[in-house]
Amino acid sequence: MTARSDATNAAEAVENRDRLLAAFEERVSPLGVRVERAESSVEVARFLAGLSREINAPRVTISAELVTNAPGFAAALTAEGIEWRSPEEVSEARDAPLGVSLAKLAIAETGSFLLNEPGLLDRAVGLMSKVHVALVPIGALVPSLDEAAGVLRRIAQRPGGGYASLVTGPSRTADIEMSLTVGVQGPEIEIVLFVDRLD
Amino acid sequence: MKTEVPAVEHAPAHNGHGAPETSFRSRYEAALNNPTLAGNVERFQRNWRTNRDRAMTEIPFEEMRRQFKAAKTRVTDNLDTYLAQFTAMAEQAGATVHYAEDADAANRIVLEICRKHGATLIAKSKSMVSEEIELNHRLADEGISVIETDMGEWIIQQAGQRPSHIVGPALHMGRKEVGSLLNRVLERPVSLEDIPEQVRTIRDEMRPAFFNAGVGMTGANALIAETGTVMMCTNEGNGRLASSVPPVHIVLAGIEKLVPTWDDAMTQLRLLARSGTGQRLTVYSTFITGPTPGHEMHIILVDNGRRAMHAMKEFVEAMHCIRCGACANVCPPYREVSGHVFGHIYTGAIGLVVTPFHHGIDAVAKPQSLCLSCNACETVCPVGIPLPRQIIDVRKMVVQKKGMPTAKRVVLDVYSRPKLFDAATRIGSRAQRPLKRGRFIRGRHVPILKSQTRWRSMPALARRPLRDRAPYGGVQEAGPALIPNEAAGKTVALFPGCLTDRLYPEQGEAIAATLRALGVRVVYPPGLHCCGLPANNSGDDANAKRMARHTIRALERTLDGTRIDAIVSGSASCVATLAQDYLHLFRDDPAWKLRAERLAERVMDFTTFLTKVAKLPAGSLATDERMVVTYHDSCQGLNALGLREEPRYLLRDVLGCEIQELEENTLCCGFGGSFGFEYPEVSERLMNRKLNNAQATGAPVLVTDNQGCIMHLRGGCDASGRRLRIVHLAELIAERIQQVEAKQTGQQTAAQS
Repeated sequence: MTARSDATNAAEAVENRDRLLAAFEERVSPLGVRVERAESSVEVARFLAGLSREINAPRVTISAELVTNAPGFAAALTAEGIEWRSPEEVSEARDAPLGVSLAKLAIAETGSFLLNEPGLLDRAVGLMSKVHVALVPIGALVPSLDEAAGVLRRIAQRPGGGYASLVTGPSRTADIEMSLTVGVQGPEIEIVLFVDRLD
Repeated sequence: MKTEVPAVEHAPAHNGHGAPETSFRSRYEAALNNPTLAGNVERFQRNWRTNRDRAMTEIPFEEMRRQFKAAKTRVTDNLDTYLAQFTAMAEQAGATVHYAEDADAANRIVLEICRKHGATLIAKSKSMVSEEIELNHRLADEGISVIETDMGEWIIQQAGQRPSHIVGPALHMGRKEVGSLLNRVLERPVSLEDIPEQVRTIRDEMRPAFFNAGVGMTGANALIAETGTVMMCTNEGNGRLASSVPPVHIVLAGIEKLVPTWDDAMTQLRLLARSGTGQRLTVYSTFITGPTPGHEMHIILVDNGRRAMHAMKEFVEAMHCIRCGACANVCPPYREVSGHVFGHIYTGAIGLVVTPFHHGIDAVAKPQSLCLSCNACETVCPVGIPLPRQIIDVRKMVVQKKGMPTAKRVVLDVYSRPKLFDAATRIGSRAQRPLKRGRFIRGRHVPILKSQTRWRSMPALARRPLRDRAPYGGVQEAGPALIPNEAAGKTVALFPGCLTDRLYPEQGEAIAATLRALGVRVVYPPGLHCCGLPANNSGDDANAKRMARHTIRALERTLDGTRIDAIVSGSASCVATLAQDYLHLFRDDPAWKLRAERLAERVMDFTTFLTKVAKLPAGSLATDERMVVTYHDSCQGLNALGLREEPRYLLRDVLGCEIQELEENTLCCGFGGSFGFEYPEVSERLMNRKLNNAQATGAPVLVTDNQGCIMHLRGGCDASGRRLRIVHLAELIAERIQQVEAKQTGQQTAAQS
């Protein structure tokens, strides 16, 4: 009985998650955002290896926070033969060909992901890379801005406050004749990579 | 009017770059003569409308704007509490909060911060407050350069202009103008056609500023009091760079930007981007609480007239504005002249309202006269600011301070006196004979009328006004109800309105005939004159009140003597005046306000009476012939009274007509009362657009519910030789009733024989 309802709950959770994922994708694909799935750090590393080849990126810039939080991920990158580094100066992140950072949340309602890096060096990866990959733990996908409000409030209440951005698509402008041009002062390409386990 | 503009000292006007202000008239004429301007603005407005309407289908707009307005009202009701809370929380997070009473103080604070850090370059993200206080210009005088890092702002900074729009500063320019500007300022060839190349060029040009600037400056879209957080919405990513990379971040924000909580901030997000650009969210919605570690953060809270705005009940709701620019995006005159004419530094409808407080009444004296009171702005405002009414209140301040042109003054004074006006129109009705051709005055050869009648024939006064044709002071008994309806047995007082009375008495008769055929008694209140709309819309408060009192007294006399179920008018404009404007007109006069309220409960337009009271059943007046018509929504009908589906139900379902919808059917036809006399060029363009759209439907008949539109559009058709029958809805219904009556009589005769 218990086992069965556990299984039912799990099935419902998966179904719910799939529905949110589909909603998220539907929101962001008109904005030109690629949405990818990976099970593990190893799969993420493989994806990044392929992407680096695709866009001819000689190295991957990774926020130090991501390296700290997911040491297995950094190891997986190395194992894939990917050259990676975390910026020690802002200038190193400036116009980096491929940057990867960790998103704290993704919101199905709006197709946004949440970046929250107090330190400038970590923040710079999502700010200045040409191609940016946001890694989102699949459990951090929430339905709406209402759930995000709670998370954002807690960030703001931390000692010393915080700096958080909901990112919805690649940077863009339509200031000339309302003609949409993608890639201005932020990334030209945004890829959202949902990952089941990031170790 | 008791309202007074706060006495704020203002420095001589600059265009932000030291050049003197050009006159309003020359800017107006330059805009009309600019071959690409109106096209650029039109493209923007039309795209915006499509995108915005699509984005709004995802949220319950009306409910959400009520909710957000309630949050903003909490702020304006408790301004000091929320200011104190925001300040305390932001400082607790490590920011320094400054308070600037006026523009000079704000500029001085910025200067002091720059001096302290030895900064000579500021990388600035978009901030309307910085435009308001003319920061770039003031800092340049002190040897500090400001680089605009928003694409549109950079373009206009290089062009030496002000933003023409709150959200799209350079939307008045096209790619060719941007390209030639780039060629000139960069002294190297840049494409005149390739927009992505232009964007890349500008991007690369401004990019180093983020890394070289000693100070990064941004505005704020909201100040979240709960945690002392600055919310900022951008698309290009420049705001995030400007607030992150330079060691000092200065936020310039008006005190009206406060919201109480994070939940309110989320509601603002849901409304803001949809209203501003038709996006679900802007690309970056950024929340900054305290400085980046190792950096400094300064938040300058700017008053600069906001407290004065806040203190006036007429204007306090303008403090709810979130600067989305939607009001400009639906504004018909704005489309023709752009924000460089329609506004001062703040443009569009909200610009006309807030400018007196930030930049003095003189700065808005001329631009405010470009509002033709179509009320479209209020329908899209995400915080429901009563902009049309506030613009009239600004107009009243202007008239109070600067007076009115003599001709207009004389006309309004004559209009306000019932006997004098009656005598004048009766003389006019005789005097017009030599110029009369059919129902129009053909004054093309009369010099004084030339600029007016070249494009729009003036209507001739009716030989006999309605007041001579109908039993004024009397009653017309109801006939037997021709079709089943719920109004049978009721009594209605007819308020014809002066255009119906003097120009189109047959429309008044059509309304009465319709009502009687539904089994309704029609009472003609004696002593009616104009409701006062022309005076009120012209900013003539004294005459507006005089005429309102006259109208209220006249209607009360009828209401006291007879049981009246409704006061019905075929003029959506008169109804909006009686039912809405009177309440505001007498806001400080409780006794008259009460009388106005009692009246407002009974006043109703013809369309509403037929759909909501009579509840005419579908098909009840349909015939075998399927008439093709187009419907022109009058601004008062659509925007003030909220009639959208009702007239269409009557045409399509009750009369069985085929409706061919007009392109851009929410856009004004350009009448606007005295607007056409003051700005004939703009009025003509709007009229031609409406008539062209009407012709494009292929429908031979245009139906509407307002005599002003009818007069204007018929005049346009006559002057241009267009063939389009323009009728009041009542005329069409009365015709149909006659047909049904004839058919029923025929059947009875047949049955009897």
